[in-house]
Amino acid sequence: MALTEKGFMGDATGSDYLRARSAERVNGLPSGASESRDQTSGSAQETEVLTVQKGKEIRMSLTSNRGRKMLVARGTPGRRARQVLAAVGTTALASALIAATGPLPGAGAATTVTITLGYAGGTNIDPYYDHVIQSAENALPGIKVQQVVYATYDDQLDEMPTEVAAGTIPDIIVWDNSAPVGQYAQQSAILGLKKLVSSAGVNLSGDPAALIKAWTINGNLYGIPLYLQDSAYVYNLGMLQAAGITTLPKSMQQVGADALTVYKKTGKAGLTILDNLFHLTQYVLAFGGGWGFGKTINSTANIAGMQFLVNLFNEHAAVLPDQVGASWDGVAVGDNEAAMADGGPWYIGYMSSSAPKVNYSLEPIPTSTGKQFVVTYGGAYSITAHSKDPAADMELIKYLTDADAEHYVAIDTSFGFVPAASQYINLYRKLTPKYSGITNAVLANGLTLDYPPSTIQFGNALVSGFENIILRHSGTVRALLNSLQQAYGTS
Amino acid sequence: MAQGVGRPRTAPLLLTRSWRQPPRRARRDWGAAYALLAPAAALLGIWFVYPIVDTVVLAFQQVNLFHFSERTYVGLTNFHQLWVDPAFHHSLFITMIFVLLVVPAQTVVALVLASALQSVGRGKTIFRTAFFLPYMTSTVAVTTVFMKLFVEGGPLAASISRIFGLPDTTWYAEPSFALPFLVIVYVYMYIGLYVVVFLGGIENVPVELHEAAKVDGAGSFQRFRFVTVPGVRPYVLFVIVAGFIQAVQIFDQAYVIASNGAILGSPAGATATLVIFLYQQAFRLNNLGYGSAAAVVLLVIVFAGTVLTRRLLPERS
Repeated sequence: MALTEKGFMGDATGSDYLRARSAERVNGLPSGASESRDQTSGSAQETEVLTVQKGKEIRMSLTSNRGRKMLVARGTPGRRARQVLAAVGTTALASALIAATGPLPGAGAATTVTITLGYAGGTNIDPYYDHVIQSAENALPGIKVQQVVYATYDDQLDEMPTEVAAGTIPDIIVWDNSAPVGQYAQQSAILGLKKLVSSAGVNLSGDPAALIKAWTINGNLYGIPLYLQDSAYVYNLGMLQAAGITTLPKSMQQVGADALTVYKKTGKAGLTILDNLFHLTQYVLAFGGGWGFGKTINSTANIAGMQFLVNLFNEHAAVLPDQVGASWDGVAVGDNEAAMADGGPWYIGYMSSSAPKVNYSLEPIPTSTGKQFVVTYGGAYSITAHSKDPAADMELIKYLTDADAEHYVAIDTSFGFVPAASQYINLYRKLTPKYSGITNAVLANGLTLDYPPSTIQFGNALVSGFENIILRHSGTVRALLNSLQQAYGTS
Repeated sequence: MAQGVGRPRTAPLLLTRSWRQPPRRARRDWGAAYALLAPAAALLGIWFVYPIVDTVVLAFQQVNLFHFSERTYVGLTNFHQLWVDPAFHHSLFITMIFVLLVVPAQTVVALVLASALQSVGRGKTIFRTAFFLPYMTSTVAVTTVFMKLFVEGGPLAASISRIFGLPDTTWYAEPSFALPFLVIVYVYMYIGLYVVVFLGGIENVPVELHEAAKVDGAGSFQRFRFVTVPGVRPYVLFVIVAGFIQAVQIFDQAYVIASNGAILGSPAGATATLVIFLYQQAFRLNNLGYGSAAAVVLLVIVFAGTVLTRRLLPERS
């Protein structure tokens, strides 16, 4: 079959095409290059075209001779080599001159800045970012966004330190402040945004004060809020009813009693907890404690909160998700393996897609005193110290957090997040009745995460010690927290 | 005497062609050989030699991933810290138990399976492929499937608990079951590779030896014990050495087990192998120098273990 490049190549035939391919191998220009060069010789004008189609470079020569364009092979290998050498030499000389003299006047106007944006992807999340990034690129013609998608949020947090070391961390990252943001700020791995915010004219007055406060460290702002996040307590109503429990617990003591009842009546776990720093923190807060940024690690309230969990594990009323074959607490609750768990709005998207038949309720977390609370925090865009153009990054962030982007968070309930902008939180609540228990008043009084400065190391040691206590029955809560106070505490 | 006469005839010939100054053509050939080797040598240098050298250098430094270029030499501090670190001792202990369980198990089972396969008349290729398949399959996929099988009430966990009177539990979530679970997954994955190695060895044992043993009245087990096993001795050595080198570096399966949001080495440090320890120190806890020191210790263990195995098990069949 003769290959004819009709339309574009005129009457070029398959053999011409193959000759052109042969010439391509001789030329040996670097992969990914793209260039077009004209050479006029007598009446014929030659244009060497290098294109990339479906990831493969395709280079061809167009010879225009009296109006006819033909695809032909050009020159002998020797001539080609000289041409290539001449081209490379000219390019190198030109590059050196440009580098030495700086950008040409007016060149900045046509320059496109490529900004890398890193976030943890997923089926529900990717369409959101595709949408808002497209909108931002349309509004900012000089900015091109390159998405760096991490498979999971845990992967993102695991990979970021090595990316910082390698200098490959994206210019902008999306994360929430349950992550060790303070540690990154302390190590100058992310930029303080206060000045950039004022110079770019980003308006943060529409975001809840608690959220701005959560992203403020030592007086500087380290994230522009994208979504609001809060902790909550999740009840599998079907499992509770099966155990004869008809009213939701009002205090943590009642949670413990109900967990035991569920275990005794159904043989299933009354409570499940994913053993990481964030989830353990909810229980120390529920007993009136907190880490106090390292000052109060071994406080009486913290010991009480941790001991509450240990007692439930000892009574078999609590399980870790993987003990029932679940990858996280939501799966255990959705699979009717556990009746209660600390969770958050991310349950809404998961339960609607993976466990639509399970009747559940999302409420503020009960405390030992009968009051309720949530931890108010949120996801935000941060600019890394690796960024080449922080001002351009802030321009992009301005569009990525504008009214359209926030509205999209509110209406796309499968996204699983609450919009950061206060004006859209009510809309989200209206569209997502499961979230109605988390009122504006509850959010406004939300607590913050007060991790010690060496957050990663502290979290690792806390979880390791907790696992030893509940799984190996080795050590005590008091001894664990005392040792952590000594190792990671601040005065 | 005849031998003594014969030998000197060749020696002077060799000596006259000086090794220091090869003929011009030979030198040209060497030049071509080195030129051809150069790309591979460069790649080996970049991808293998340089990382090892850099790891050794890092082992004597304190490095913060957030400020990677600012390295401080701390002498033997990292090694001293390893010496007194209970977590490191624990990881050495876990790795040692794992190796002691895995290497003999996979060697014996692979040899028995290979021997049985050799006697299969038809469909040998199918069986060989079937055994080799897990080795070619993704570690994450295999481990995840096993996690489903060994969950409380799951097909294998329930059967094993019924047969052996063990508690029906999720193996990878219980400290006393997690390491045996790791051994099972690991042996399942690597057994196919060693079956293929042993099959190659068994095919090299002369058929005449088996026939002679048969004529002498040897049964199947006796032929296996006195003909096959001595015949594949060099292969046994290879499988033990290679198995040891692989097993001491166990990481992937333990990493997958802890991927459910838990910390590495979960549950309660039951799968905290040496490589898990060094990975955690280097990349999770931001102690790159300390992790590198652990990697150097691992390198020494692998080297010493290999030398020791070769000394203890003579290669000659």
